[in-house]
Amino acid sequence: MIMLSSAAGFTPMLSFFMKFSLFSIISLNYGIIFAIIIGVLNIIGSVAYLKMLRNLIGYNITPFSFRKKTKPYSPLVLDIDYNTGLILNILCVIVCFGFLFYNEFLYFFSYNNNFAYMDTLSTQQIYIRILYNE
Amino acid sequence: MASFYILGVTMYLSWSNFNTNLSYFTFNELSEYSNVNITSSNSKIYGYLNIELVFSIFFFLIYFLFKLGSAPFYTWVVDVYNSCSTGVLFLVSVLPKLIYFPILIFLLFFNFIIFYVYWSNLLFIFGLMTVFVGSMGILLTDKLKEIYSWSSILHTGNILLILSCISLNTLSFCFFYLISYTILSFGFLCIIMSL
Repeated sequence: MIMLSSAAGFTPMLSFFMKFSLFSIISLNYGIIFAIIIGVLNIIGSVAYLKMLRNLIGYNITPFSFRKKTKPYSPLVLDIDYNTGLILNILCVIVCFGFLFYNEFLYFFSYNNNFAYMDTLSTQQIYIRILYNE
Repeated sequence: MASFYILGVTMYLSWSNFNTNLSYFTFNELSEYSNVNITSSNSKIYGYLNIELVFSIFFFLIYFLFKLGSAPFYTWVVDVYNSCSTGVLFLVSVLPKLIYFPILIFLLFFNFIIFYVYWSNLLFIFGLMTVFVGSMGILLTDKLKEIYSWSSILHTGNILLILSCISLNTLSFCFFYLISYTILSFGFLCIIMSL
């Protein structure tokens, strides 16, 4: 966990503790598999800081690394007209609504059909502690 | 909140941004209609579980996820951040998180805590999707503001993942993450503004 959080947090102290809190709570609740998946995604995401630094310092332009100045958006941003966007948004809402009723696939990643490895307290006790601050 | 976006985009006005503004505002208004459901079913919360309540939880989650820029409602984030001037970028990126996350937390953990089965799973799925989209989007871009917007999407996903866990430390970790994110982005944007 420490290795993951130190690798994912590029900025030394604050970002390290941010990721540390994230990974500790996720590994406690959902298990080590999800912690590793999210950790790897965060490591990929920390490329952002390196790219920002490169943007601030400037490109090292060679004939092989020449880029156009105006680039279109990445393919993740759908470049579509207004009506299609409206329909797609409504479709997204409908598809996500399906997750309410078909959330059993999450248990595919866990063993013993159980996410919570840490629960010495029952969930009801945790709610009582959160609600009444006991 | 909308005035901040108007402020941000009008300082950098052009025809392409006008289109962005229009789509952002119309979709946001669309998402705000879903928030009406909370008031309609508020009296029935503690009585029994019905389909109206499930719908209302779902729709107010959608409302907040849209405002926070979570997947699959994230595309306006890149558009709006790109069309903002750099000075307003801090307000546009951090203020919605500082406003909407505490409201979401207090709604979920103090009003809808009984129905954790529904919203914790939903938040986990949305958080995973958001982290995936944010981290992959960073790899595909080179613009500074666009990278910043993908990074903010990634952080939103991380906070959603923390929120989806039900434990004693959730609230403290979540607020710690929010405050740290604010400080980090403030420092980063100070560097950009000083250049």
